[in-house]
Amino acid sequence: MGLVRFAYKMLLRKRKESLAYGLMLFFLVITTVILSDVVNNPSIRHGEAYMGDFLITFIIFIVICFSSVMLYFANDAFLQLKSEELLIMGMSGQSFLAITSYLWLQIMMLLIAFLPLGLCTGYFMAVGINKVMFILMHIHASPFFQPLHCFLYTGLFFLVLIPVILLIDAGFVYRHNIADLLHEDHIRNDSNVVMLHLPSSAYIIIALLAIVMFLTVPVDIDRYAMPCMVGAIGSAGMLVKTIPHFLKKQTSLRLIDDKIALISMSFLSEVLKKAKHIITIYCIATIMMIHMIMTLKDDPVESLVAAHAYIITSLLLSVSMMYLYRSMILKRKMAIINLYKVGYMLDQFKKIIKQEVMSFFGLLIALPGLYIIIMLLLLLMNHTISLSFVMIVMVINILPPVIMALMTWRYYRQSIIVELEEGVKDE
Amino acid sequence: MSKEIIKAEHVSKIYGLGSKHPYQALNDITLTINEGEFVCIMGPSGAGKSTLLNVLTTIDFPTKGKVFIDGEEVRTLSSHQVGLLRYERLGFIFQNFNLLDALTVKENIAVPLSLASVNRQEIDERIISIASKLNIEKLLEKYPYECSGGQRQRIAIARALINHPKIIVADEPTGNLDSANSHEVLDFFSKLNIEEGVTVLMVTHDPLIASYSSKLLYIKDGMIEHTIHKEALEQKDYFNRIVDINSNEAQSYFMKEAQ
Repeated sequence: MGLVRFAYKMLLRKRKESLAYGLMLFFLVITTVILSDVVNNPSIRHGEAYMGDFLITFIIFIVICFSSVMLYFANDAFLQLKSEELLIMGMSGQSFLAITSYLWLQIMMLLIAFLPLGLCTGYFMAVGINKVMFILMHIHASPFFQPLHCFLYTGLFFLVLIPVILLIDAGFVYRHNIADLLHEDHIRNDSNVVMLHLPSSAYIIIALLAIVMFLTVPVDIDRYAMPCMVGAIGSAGMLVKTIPHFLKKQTSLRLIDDKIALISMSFLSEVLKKAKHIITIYCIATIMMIHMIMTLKDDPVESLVAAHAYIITSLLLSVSMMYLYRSMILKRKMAIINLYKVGYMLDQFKKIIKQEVMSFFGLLIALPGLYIIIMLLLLLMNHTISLSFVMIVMVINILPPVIMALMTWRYYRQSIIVELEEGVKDE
Repeated sequence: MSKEIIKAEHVSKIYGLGSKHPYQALNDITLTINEGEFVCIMGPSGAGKSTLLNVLTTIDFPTKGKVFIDGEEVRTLSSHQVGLLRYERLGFIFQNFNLLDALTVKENIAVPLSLASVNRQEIDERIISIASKLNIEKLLEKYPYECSGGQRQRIAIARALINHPKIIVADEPTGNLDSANSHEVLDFFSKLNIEEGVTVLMVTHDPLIASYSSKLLYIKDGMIEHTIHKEALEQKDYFNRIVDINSNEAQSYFMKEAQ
């Protein structure tokens, strides 16, 4: 009983940290409800000649896979934030089972809070989406009807996913004893697992190769699948390997006397390296899903499903990226306080934060965006797509990271600058 | 004769075993700590002080050799039994205090008891008793971030002592404190050790802090190089011997350099 009370109390007291994880669960429930509705709603399935049954199921499967990976990242960040609590529990004589149960209890509490909320929101969002689809597909049916399967599949999905998450958490507790938790900087296993074990300069070649491929293959959206894939790998590699490597060289050679850039670029390099998995997924997801939307643009149902899939994926990616960044900011507080003690001033920190956040999200938009722009321009010049279509695609590509950047910047300033303004306690 | 409370037999600790660069942090250490002793572990950085402390107190486990706490070999205990041993017999204090900012001071001190489902009345009684000993009664409703470094360390000590442990395990407990607060903490440890017979096992870099102990283990390259007993020595003379050992080590370094 003591454990349940403690889990509840800590979840409530540290609600800001838990909220992002809860939101991820919430979005995942909504995603599953909406996509299950698209697959199972008889009005949509038998509405008109429905050629892309397999393709739509495939798109939905991919989106659910993406969502599960995002939940994994959110869970990982959640675990990093829990290290102090787990350490104190270990010091207080709690066994492996008790510490694992503590994490399980907190996840189950979050699920109890966000599952019904997600189901309700998902239902109403699905109603809205049904309305749009029925109008586009000329279906005369009630958009409020959703088959029971829709909720059953959502339940089944979580029945499979949650035990996997719980097992991952148990593994985390098993692998980290008190000594590891005391040195929390070492918790994150920074193995150099990127997609491919290549030298950092190789990604420049891959990135350039993708541009050459775009310019040499005949203008045809179907033929752009391979250059898109190569571009996604190239841009991800550039972001997580080439640029951090370049920044490391620059900070030690040229930026050593630039107080602002030295710190902001070092922080940027750290974020790029630590968020490598999510950045890789972001690059692949944005480039490949925009390619998919354009491939399916002539079919209203399939393109609508693909567009929903893209919006959901980018929303989940944005939340995950922001959550990961937040957990890094929290861990960076001490380093910033130390810099403050050695003479950095508040105005300089404001500039550092601005420079770092702008550079990070700028790169995140620019690198994958380069291939999207090339592809769109080539298709536009060939009159395959209209200028308005290009504008819509660009807006939906840029908007989520821009919002994410503003939110991260605000949080960064609030958690660092406000604390410094209130005065640093001398320890 | 005092009872053995911690015993290490041929203990070695190797990190990265099976990797390209394994690192031997402890090398065949055998030692005994008796009940009621105040043992200090000293040595240069990277000598294996914290590793030895961790291995002796269930925080980490040896690669080779055996560790006994109160006669029980730690390796043979289940995870639940190790937890119980920590809860009943060990109190941990670290340099970084490790307090939860989301909980009040009172709640922080109560964490081990709350987790063990001890009733509220007993928790309150024990907190009042330990808080008055450490002079932190007025802080109980505050949050750790509202307290000074010295106050925070006293809160961490209160949490470590709330279960009446037989052994206090302290890794650089004064590392983040000023001189006045450091001596206050050490006076408290000495009092506990002398008046209540609590065994203290502490790691420090500071010879003055180490001079509060009754036995000093000087460790270098994963091995115990010197053991000094305070016995009848005055604290000042004991301190001088500790300084001598440290300076002899420094001298031997310069001699090696000169050769």
